Amino acid sequence: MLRSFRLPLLSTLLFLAIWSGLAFLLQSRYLPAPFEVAKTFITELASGALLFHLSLTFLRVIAAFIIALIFGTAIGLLLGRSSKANQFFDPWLIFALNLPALVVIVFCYLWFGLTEVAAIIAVALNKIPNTAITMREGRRALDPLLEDVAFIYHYTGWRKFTEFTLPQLEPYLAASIRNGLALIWKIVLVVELLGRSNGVGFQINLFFSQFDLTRILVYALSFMAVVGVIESVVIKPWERRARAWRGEAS
Amino acid sequence: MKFSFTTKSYGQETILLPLTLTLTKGEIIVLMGQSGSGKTTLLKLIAGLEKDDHQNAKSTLKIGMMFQEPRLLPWKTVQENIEVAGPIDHLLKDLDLEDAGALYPRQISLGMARRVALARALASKPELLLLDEPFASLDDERVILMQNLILSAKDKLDIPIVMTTHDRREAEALQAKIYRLEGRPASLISVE
Repeated sequence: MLRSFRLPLLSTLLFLAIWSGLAFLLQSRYLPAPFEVAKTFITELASGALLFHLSLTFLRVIAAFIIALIFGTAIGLLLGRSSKANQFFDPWLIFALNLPALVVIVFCYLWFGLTEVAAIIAVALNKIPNTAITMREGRRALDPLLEDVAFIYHYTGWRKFTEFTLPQLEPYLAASIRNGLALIWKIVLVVELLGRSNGVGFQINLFFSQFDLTRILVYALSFMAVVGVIESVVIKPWERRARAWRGEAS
Repeated sequence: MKFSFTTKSYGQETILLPLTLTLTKGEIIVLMGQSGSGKTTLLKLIAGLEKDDHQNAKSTLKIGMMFQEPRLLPWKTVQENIEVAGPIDHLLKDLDLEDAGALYPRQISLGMARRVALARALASKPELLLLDEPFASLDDERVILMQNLILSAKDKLDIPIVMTTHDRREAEALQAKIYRLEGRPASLISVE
């Protein structure tokens, strides 16, 4: 156990050492030392500002993530099931996939106003095409031989979905969730920067205008840590459990 | 039980001619014929997995089916795979699978997987049991074990059983009524 942590720990310490060394040598306000960042982190935490903005960004990420997952999965399963629907909607999907995130965000703000709903819709819309494509492949990869087993033993509807379909989709769902989280939180920051008056993205923009790189790092690193915790506490254990029958190491 | 089907075709090719198969409770019927003669297709028609050329399908019966491949759900353990069809009762013991209940399909041999598939077919307490080459890739000892279980299920559940095989000795061991699928497209011929 300790052995598996040794190399990543050494690597982190080396990174911090290089960062500290460079900050000491340059003595520039544009490269704050790790110690300065830690000190500011404690100040922001104590004031309550950090937790306030982190939690708002977190809620936006979760809301957009759930919407994108539900709609993306439904669309992907439909397209994977019907080749006609896939042929018809494929150009839409390619268009949506290639539409720059920034354009979607601007349009949502213009159509729905600078509101919370517009922000969440904008983020979800950016993620839905990716989820749809991954889940479409998952639907196509379902084992038709197991469909016969479901038929013989009268598995239909929701019961068939949970017992036969979902376990086969799990690897695709896991990929979607993992990539989705990484993509969504970055888009949420842009959405906040452009049209919200709170959240990590808003704070980063504020500190950018003040050339306060220390606080930019405090907020960015804090949210990266939140995402890291979600990944190791929720996503990885779930993936491990879902893969147990494959006998794969996670 | 009477099953009547019109022709069955795949694309332009007709595989089966119209046929009628009458099954009696407590009777074993063995379908023989060369590879590709339509044995599995006929089983699928009976199970309702396929429709004949006039879209007739029989699927109202409670059927237990053992496919040519075990078709176990890889994410479920042996015990859970059997429970997909119904309560497990004594099936693990009857099929010599007592130590395998907690194993996943990837952890067991093909022969063992075939026994699990038979257990699953029996767990559904079927009104009709369909077995597609049930003894393939099993050693003699396991073949006898499974034959005994099939015979006991036939008597205990008092159901008809339809089975496909290439081996006439298997049919004789089960004291089965033998039919052959002959010709192309195939017709069903009773073998006395």
